[in-house]
Amino acid sequence: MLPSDKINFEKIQFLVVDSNHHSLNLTTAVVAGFGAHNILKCTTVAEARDIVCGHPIDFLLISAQMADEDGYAFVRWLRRKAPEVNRFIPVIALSSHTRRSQVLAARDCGVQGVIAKPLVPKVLIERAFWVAHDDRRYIVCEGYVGPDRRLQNLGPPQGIEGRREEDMQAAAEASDIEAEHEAAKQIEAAR
Amino acid sequence: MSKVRKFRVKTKLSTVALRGGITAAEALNRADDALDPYRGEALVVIDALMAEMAARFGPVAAGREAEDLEDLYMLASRVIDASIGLSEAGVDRAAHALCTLVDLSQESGVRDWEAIEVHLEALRLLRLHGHSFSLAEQERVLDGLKTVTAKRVGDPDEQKRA
Repeated sequence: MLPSDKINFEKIQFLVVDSNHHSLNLTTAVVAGFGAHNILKCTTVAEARDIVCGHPIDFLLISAQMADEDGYAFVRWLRRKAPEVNRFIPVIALSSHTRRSQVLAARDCGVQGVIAKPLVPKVLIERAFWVAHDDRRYIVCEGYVGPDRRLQNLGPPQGIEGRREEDMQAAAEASDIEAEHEAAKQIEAAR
Repeated sequence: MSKVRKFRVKTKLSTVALRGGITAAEALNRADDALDPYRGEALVVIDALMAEMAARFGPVAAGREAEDLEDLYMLASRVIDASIGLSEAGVDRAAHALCTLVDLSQESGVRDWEAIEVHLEALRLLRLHGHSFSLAEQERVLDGLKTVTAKRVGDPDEQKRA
């Protein structure tokens, strides 16, 4: 993201969820500062569920540490049970501290990303840009619903035959890249 | 084997938000201005949270054995939430270290009051003087907390290495 890159949140419907009032106000102030006009906010997962069931939302920011229910569990629900219109919206989780027992839950709940608190506006806007440009596919299967967790498809590990259709192509591309690097190294060494 | 569906979703964020609007630099300036009214309030919130932690879990807290460590975890995580603008002092990182200590304590069943007191004292120190500390001095305090946790409760970096 360059400082001159433009972003337009005027018509984006935000939902900010945080059970800590002070933190909720800070996040809302930052988002409003970014130019957002439509911001719904709430302090419980129960309220968030009602809102998601009644309003189209474009971007969800949710605290991972909610008082009434785990924020990651809410995202798991959103990806599976929410009305279709909101099921695949971009979600960023905001986390003060991730318990060791929650690391996998954070990875597997289906968020686009997790941002550490205290919220730094620069980090949030960079992540928003990244999410806006994110072209990953959604994966829906029994154990996971959310954006592809692989940020790069380098194919299956060396020596292992991939199970996915695109694995062969990805492995070939990765092999081409490796060959290019090797050739570049040899040219450099020859100089 | 379960069936897997893969598809791309066109979101409003990826279409509308990238058309026109304000520059990132301007957005950040505006966000900074919008946070101004909350900075003083954040200090008040942090001081209140620290006072509550000291009163319930500090060396003078007579009834601390009966307290739930989960409350200490919540109080420390709220310090992190409110530390906006205080990051340079290291307060958020000390509170994060306290959350890690409590998390590991809950996992292992070890309740080490001396380790908790050291963390509370470090928080107080950084809140009062962190801004005047050099980065190296702050790091020494935070590294000390990590060492205390590793010695008394468990290795805080174990998960990262695994």
